[in-house]
Amino acid sequence: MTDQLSATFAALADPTRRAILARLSHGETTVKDLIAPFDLSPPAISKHLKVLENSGLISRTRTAQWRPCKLEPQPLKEVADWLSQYKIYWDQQLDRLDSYLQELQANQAKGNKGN
Amino acid sequence: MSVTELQGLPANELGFTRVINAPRSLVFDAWTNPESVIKWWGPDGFTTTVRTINIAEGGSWDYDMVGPDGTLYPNLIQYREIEAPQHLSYHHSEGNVDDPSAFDVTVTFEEWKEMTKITIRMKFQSAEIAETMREFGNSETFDNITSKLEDFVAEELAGHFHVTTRTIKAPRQLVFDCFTKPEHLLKWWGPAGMTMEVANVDLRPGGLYHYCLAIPNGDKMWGRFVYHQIISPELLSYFVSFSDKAGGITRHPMSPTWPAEMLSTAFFSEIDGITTLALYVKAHNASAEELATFEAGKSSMEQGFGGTFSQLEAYLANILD
Repeated sequence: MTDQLSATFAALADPTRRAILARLSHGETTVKDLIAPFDLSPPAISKHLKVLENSGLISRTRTAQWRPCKLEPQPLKEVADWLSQYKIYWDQQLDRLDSYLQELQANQAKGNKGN
Repeated sequence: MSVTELQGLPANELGFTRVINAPRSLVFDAWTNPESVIKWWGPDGFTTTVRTINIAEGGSWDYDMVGPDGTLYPNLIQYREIEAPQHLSYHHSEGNVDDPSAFDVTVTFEEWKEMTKITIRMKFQSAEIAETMREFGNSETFDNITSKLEDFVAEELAGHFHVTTRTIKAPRQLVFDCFTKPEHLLKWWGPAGMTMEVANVDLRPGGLYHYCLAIPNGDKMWGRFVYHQIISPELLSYFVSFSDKAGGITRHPMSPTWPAEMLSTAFFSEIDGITTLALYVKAHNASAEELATFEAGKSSMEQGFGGTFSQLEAYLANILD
């Protein structure tokens, strides 16, 4: 396993960190807003953010004083790739199945009418 | 859902019915798969210690129920009829031949919309014993163990990745046949724009479906399904792997830590001529590393991460088109 992937898995293994990521998926957030729904001390949150930052899953703006956190999609794309491709593949397959079935039934109905 | 007692039975019988929220094929499997049944069997606070287990017609399950205070209650279940996924009958005793408390059990599993209605009937050796069992709280016990069964099945499903659910305007049997009959399968199967060669179609449990995709750059990609369970028209499951020309299992070409084998399960249900197809996938025979890869992918997919993946999907859909 590449180091990047190991870091991503280790970061995702923790439910609090997954919840942080889910919150960030709605857009950039300040640390203060991020802490609100969690029953955790600021140092504990800060530790989670550091793990997420080191694994490349989030980035934090250095310039702004309130240092907003932002989700970085690339590492997540890598781990989700197989399943998302599988899902897309199946959605397309089932589109084809659906058209095939509608056509088949229309032909059967026509055939019955002819008899 | 609550338990209803069956009325009008002979005096030496007790019967109950209950609907549980899970597809019938999974419920039946949880009741008849030795690895599953030991995980939910018995009332709250009890555990089971298995001596031998062979769930088959003529087979038996010899075990102790261990009570909360450590008391052992010996049990012997001798299976008579097992008709997947709708019917099961067995003889239940403490293990000795002339056990006066022994009784005969039949369990039926009916599809109830997208859920399962379980009906159990127990035939005791006398009306008195049946009455004692009723007073002893047999109905609560049934409620209790079927709740544990429902939780077990829900937990099993949660371990899968939910790929997609689709409703199709066609009767269920026809949709199912499209997955299992070559004359239909070859008409819709395979990605658009790619040439698909089917090397082998053997539609039975353990049978191999082996195919090859010719990719536009000239490469060939092999894949295979090994059919696991075929319960027409409600369930189809198979092990999915990348493959080679010889039909062996190979790894994901781009991602070496993805599980080499995945179990894919399709559930088919029908209401008023409309079929609902739900597709799930889970890692099979996976190493710790493969499982971690799968779990990470699953949780990041399930949490959606807002627009991130819809963009990705659109992008991938573009390349695949």
